[in-house]
Amino acid sequence: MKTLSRRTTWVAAATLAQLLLVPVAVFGQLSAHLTGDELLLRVGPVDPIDPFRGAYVDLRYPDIEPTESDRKSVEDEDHGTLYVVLEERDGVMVAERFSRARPDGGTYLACDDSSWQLRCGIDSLFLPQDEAERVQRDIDQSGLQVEEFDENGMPVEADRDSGYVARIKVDSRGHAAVVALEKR
Amino acid sequence: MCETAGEADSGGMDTSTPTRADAPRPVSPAQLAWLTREVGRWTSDGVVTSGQADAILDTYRAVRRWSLAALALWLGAAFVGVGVIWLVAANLDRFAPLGRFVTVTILWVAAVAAADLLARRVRTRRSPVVGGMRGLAALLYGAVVMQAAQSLQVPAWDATLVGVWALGALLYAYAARGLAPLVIGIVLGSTWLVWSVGERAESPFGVVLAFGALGAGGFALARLHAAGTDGADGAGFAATWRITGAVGCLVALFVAALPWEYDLQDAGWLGWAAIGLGVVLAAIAASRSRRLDLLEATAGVITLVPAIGIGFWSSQAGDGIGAADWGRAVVAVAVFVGVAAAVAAVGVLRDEPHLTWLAVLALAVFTTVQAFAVFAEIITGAWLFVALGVVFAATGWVADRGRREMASALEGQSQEGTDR
Repeated sequence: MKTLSRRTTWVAAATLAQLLLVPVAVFGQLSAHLTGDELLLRVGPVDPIDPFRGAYVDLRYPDIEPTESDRKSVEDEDHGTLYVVLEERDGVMVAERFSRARPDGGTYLACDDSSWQLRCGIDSLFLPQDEAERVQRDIDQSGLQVEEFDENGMPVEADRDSGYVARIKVDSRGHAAVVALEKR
Repeated sequence: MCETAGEADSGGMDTSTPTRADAPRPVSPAQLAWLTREVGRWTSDGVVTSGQADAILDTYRAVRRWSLAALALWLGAAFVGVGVIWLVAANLDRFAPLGRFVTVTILWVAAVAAADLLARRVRTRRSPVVGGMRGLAALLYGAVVMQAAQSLQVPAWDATLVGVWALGALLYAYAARGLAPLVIGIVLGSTWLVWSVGERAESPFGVVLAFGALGAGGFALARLHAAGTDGADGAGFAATWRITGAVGCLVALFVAALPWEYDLQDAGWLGWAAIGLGVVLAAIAASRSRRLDLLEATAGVITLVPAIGIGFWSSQAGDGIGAADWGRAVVAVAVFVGVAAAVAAVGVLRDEPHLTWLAVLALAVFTTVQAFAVFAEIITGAWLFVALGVVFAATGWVADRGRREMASALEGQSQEGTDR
């Protein structure tokens, strides 16, 4: 009986530790939700599926993607954390500058450019499957997904507008979370 | 699989009910059939009388380890667990995210509590009901993590979520001494390690490091559990970590020997940290072992050296197939045969036939892939199969010789009274 109770104590301790691990797994978004300020960003989505989590809309943000010259200015070889300092323009936030060092103040996003895509913790919006498909169709009809190519077959950067904005929350350390997708 | 590994390790001798001294001992039907045959021979040889023969046979009864009830329980637990995770993925927006999170958390805590209560009531070792419930609790913890991520819109394809789920499952496995959560934790943890290291390294070399670390850590932990004094639980845990180590070593060598031309980018701190942890565990295990046990404790680390070496070599593979490629393929096959033979030998040493089968299967897949990747461009058509047959027969002969020598060396050792 004594060994059984000792095991129960261990199981209770492990369960508590597991529970405390959950906020660690989602720390950035949790912090943004609890302490962050709300901002608006223009978006351009597509809709794939995550095996554990279902259908989502993959969000890209044309206004915070660094251009070639931006990349050159922040030592591009040195991939890792990239801070995107934001400023407001026409009611939405856009990138003002990029930096490898944490900005002293102001509103900024703490992103990661180790992979081919800039990831700022706001890259997906999970929705029920039919809802995700509907948003996708809507975006496709807006013409955002129609790629244009130059004579060398390279995609032409164009300032397309899906008509959607993402409402996000950003905390003081640059952690961000998507709150909602809205039609402008 | 986990529970069978544990039960196989305990040799089917586990008493699944509290036995009185005169109650028949449960054995597998195959063991009882063998004993009946042998006892018949003893009777006809006059070694025992038919009355004594009956008395001997009456002390055993046939029990199937894989009962249909256990299979149904485990399948049921797995289906319910996966089903709840899919419900989380279905994103039922009729219910508020916080409500969904609380519901899933309550289900998880209820499963943990139910498993613990059942473990108190069912006073048997390895009850499939308790095992199934613990497995379900480990799966439901995944649903909790995924629902938290869902509620907060954490971006898709985030390896951290799988890592936290794995860590939670392992914590639970060790707290409850449950094999089912251990297997779930190991599978998820390995997925997280290979995913995270592979993502950072952006080359197959990161995958070699991740699997190599699993091999080193798996064999070391198997030895530590086997050397520990925690009884049948320890034996089940040891068997599970041992198969993890074997899979890690074999896959690391397999990936290392693939002739891909790639830049050896830095695998990042995570890959080398995992290797470091594996080496430290192996050192601790080695300090508590001697002779053949020492070899098992360090098997993963010993495999790391040729795996990393062949990985460096393979990365310089050119477009064509030259003498260097032949040389590398021959060395890689030789090393792989050695490691596969060692894994098969551990299978014999620990009386775990599934390790031997794993080694044979790995060897077959490895030689086939190497033959097609390297030799195929030179020897085409019918000759490829003739050459492949000769390679198979030769490796089979070498492996079988090694296995027999290891088995006879082991017999010599066990006669000296060394324990497992």
